[in-house]
Amino acid sequence: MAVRISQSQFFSVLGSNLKSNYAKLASLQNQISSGKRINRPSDDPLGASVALAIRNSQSDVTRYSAAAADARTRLDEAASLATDANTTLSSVRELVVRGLNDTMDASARKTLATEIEQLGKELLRIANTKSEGRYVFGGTRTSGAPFAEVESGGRTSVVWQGGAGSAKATIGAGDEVEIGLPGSQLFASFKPTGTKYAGVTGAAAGTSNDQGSGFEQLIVRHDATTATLGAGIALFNGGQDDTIVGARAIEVDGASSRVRIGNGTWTSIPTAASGQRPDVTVKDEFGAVLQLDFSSWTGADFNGSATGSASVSLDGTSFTAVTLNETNLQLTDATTGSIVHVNTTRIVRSGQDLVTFGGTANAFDTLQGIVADLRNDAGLSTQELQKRLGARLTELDLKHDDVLVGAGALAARSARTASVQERLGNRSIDLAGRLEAVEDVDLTTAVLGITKTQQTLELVQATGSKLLRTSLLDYLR
Amino acid sequence: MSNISSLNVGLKALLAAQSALDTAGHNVANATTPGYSRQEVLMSSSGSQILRGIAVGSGVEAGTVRRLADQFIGRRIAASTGMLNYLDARVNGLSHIESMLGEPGDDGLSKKMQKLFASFSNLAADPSEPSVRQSVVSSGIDIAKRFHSLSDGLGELSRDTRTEIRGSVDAVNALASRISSLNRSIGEFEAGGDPANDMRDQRDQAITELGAYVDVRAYESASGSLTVQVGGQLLVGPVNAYKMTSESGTTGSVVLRIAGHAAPLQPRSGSLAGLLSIADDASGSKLDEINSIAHNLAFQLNRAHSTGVPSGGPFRSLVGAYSFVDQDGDNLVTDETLAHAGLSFTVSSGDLRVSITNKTTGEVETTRIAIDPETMTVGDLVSQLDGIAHLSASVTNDGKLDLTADPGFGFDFAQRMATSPDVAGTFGGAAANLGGRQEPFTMTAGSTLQITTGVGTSTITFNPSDFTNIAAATAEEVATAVNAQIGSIGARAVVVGGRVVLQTLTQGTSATIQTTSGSALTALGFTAGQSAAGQASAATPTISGTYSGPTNQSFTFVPTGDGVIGTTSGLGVDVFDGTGNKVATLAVGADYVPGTALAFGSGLSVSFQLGAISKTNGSIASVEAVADADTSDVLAALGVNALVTGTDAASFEVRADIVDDPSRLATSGTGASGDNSALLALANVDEVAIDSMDGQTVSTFYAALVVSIGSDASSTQAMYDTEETVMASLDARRQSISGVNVDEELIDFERYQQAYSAAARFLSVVNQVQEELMRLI
Repeated sequence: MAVRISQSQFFSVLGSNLKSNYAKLASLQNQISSGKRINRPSDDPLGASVALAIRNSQSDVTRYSAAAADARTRLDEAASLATDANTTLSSVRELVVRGLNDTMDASARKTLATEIEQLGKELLRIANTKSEGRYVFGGTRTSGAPFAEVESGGRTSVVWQGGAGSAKATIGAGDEVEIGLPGSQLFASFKPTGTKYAGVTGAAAGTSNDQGSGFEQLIVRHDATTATLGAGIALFNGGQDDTIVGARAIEVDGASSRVRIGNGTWTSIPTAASGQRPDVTVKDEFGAVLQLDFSSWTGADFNGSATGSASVSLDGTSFTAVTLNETNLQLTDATTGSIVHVNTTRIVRSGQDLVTFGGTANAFDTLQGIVADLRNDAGLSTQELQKRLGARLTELDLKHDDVLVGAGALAARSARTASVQERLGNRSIDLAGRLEAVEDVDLTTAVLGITKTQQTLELVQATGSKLLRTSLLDYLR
Repeated sequence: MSNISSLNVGLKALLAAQSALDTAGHNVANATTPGYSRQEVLMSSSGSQILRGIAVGSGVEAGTVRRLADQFIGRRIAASTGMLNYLDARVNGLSHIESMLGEPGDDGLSKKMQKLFASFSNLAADPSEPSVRQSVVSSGIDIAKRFHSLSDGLGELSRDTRTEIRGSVDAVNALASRISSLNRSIGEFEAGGDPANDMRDQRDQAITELGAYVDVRAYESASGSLTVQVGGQLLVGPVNAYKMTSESGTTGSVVLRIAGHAAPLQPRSGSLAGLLSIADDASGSKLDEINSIAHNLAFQLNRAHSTGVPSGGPFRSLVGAYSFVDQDGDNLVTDETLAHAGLSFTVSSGDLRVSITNKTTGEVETTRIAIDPETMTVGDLVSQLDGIAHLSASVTNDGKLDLTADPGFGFDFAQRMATSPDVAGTFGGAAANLGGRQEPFTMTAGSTLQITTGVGTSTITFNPSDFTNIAAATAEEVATAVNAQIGSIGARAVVVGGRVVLQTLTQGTSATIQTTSGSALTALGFTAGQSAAGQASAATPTISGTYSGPTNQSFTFVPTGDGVIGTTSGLGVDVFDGTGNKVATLAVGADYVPGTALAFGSGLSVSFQLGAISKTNGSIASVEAVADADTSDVLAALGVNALVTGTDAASFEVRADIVDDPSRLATSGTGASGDNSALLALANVDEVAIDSMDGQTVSTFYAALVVSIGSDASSTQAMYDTEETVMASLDARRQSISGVNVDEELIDFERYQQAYSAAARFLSVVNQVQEELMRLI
């Protein structure tokens, strides 16, 4: 088909070609100067949608990374404090083992007690550590110290006041990590293992389970001694200061002038002339005491028996008389709410027995108990002391385990957070790379494009201007 | 011989050549006139005459001047122009909207939203740090500003578009009247028989220009006048032109009308069509989507924030942010149901839990209010809230909810868990307890129940008036009836876990209670003579742990047999959830040490103390585990403890008193000062799938909106480029038919000049011949 071209057609075609070249040039220039291929979504809608999605993911990753970094700092801090607590408890253990040694005397034990008291204060300080205005082991309660010293019934004990659970950090989609541990899990966990008696008086646990926490004192009180006596032997002071409970056989050996009860050691009876009479304190194999008055002794052999009756009490105010046949006597301490079942059949002497609700005492009360025992204001014998300290040490070991387990858990959480952090770091790099691939302009292509377009433009301009001029007018005369 | 005819021939030739020259000159003069179609003189040879016995031709006849125009091309060019202008208007509008959104970029809304969620996450790491709290508030203000500027920008675009539309309508009317007057002129001129070439060109040009504004259809009638239809409606008739008007609707959309037509004009191409669609977008669909984003973001943020507690602890006083609106014209809002009280957000069916804290003793009491938006009126809600001890509720003059606690008390809506589920002491408690079976009870009218305690005996009679349906009596109804009639025998009825429990008011082993007789015994689950006594130590169940379940749940504890905790071998406690499924059986027999925590699921554990529990005597305890203290979202709908006020993009603001004092920001979810679950929930709003957004999150919905605008703009631009190419080729066709090639005209000049010279020469020859003849005579 023959196509007729008119002048205006020619001009308009030239004009539109120039326009399109300029437009291309301008857009390439824009891309180079901004470094981005996509300056507005309309430049590449599909690419823009991918870019926006990547950007959203990037902001999530940044958020999670920041939370993970912070969580890790706090977890590391808590773990290191828990390790400090562990070291303190190890030192305490060492000292207590020394205190258990037979060769220690009272003043040495008192020195130990003071040292352990200091370590106890140190432990309390660690438990109440405040960092950046927050109590590290306070759980969800940050307004007061997690462990507080309270006075109750004349005793100072340490009470857990913090909140259960801890603040959380979101380190991934649906992934929350607890950024601390409540102090109760480390120092005051309640994991009952059963009731134990130190074994001073021979009282033992009954058949039913008990209710209580920490330590209690079981007081066995010697009420009276009844004895079948003869040969001029009488109870000294009516048996008031005796500590035997239950029946004992009395053997008096007139020939050797000695006396013994039960299977105890022989005690020599002082002669009348020595002036050491009249009372003879006889101890049996358990250390229970019977005081006899030998002032009117005939000097003859004698075999008799004495029985001590007793009553028991948990709170020191209400006493229950025992027949020594009870296997499950229930005693209550109204002030602490503890309910204890006692087996009285093997009680041999009066005294104060340490009742431990295994696995329920908090570390601080245990330490205070150790300090009190070592100070020995009650004047207990070494044997009794060792029994008590042994019981406390078992409790302390349980708490020590808790601290170790807690420190381990914190460290493990920190390690997991660290690995999440690393993953997030990798993801962030990956996302940045993908965003670049989608959004950024390939400078080489763009520069080549500009060169090409510029060349085309120049050609169009040159040829156009030449052709514009041609007209028949130039040639017609 | 007739020289006159020869002279005629010569004369006609001269005149014809002159006309042709004139026409060629006219073409050259109009070479650049837009819409000009070149003209040529149609010459035909005149018929022959019988002269001197032979038929001799009588010269040339310059007939008409013919206009070389193809009207079909003209129509197609008009259509293409219309499409081009439509696309151009749309591209401009969409580009403008795209620039306003500013994505991807630091000023864009998506970046600001990301910043807000990041700030929540940062604050969660350290909820009491003031500078981080301030950054949360600043991020919120930033988003509010962005929403405002988007809303304002779209409003401005809408206004500008409307102004442009008005201008275009004026231009259309001017063109229409020009076409109409050209119609008249052409009609008058062509009545004389000659085609009105130049006027037709002008009319065609006017049609083309009109096509740039609207889609035109032009029909030429036999009389030569053009009727123009625009969008199916008559704009220019055979005689008159009709006026087009534009009206702005209330929502900012524009309606075009042509006089004489009731239906609005819907142009399908042309710049008016493009402008109308942009006006619709700017003030309509795009604005709606931006508003929807702001609306949903506000609601979700408020839902997460309203059940939180700030670091300062429970509130003394709060006023809602959104007002109730009177619907029935009686100037009272209290009679409107919550679903129809003029609120912008939806209240669902659910529960609200309000906790009142006694600031001196630290005691907390939680009350549950059931909310059914279809039946509960504003007045009901206010009176139920007001009925909570130490809390007063009222509606302010502008329809907002006002809550104030008594001095020394504070209130909040936190996710609190009762640590002692056995408030009434019905689970192995110290008082004597007799529990019956689970509701509903099939009672009969006039049935009796006789209760005996150590103090005395009382007989309860159950009347139908005590129950809504006596055959399906609820535990609450039975308990109310019992308590009303029991008198002072030292006992009461309590409802626990859907059972009625008869309980003595005194405690200890001396307290006894017995259901001696009565016709209602079996229905209620008691046996005649069944009795129970109190005890010295109570089983006291204690809950520990944090509830991690997704929804609110109630747990009920029921013994598997009779016995003493920690003593009777084989004794257990069944734990049931709210739907009656057993979730755990706990062993509390001889191996259980009292006080040990036993886990029963969802992060919760329960421990018991030494105490006797009895399945026969119906020991029961029940606890509510709260995951969401406001499942009805009424707090968010009313804006109580809101983070954000406003219902759309223009009104979106951070709550003014939080801006004044950032410590009012809610951080804790459970009320414990170190808990940060409210902040974690706020940071998580970005992950919430919203129903009204097709299950997308706010960010993805917004990203989809941005991309749809971008892809619209990009595809419209591509269509424009294509249309430009089409237009160029159409124009080339038109030019090829109608365009003036100056070189051609120059050749014509030569040609017709020669013809004129030849004709003049002929005339001079004829003259000479005539003179020769005259000399002969």
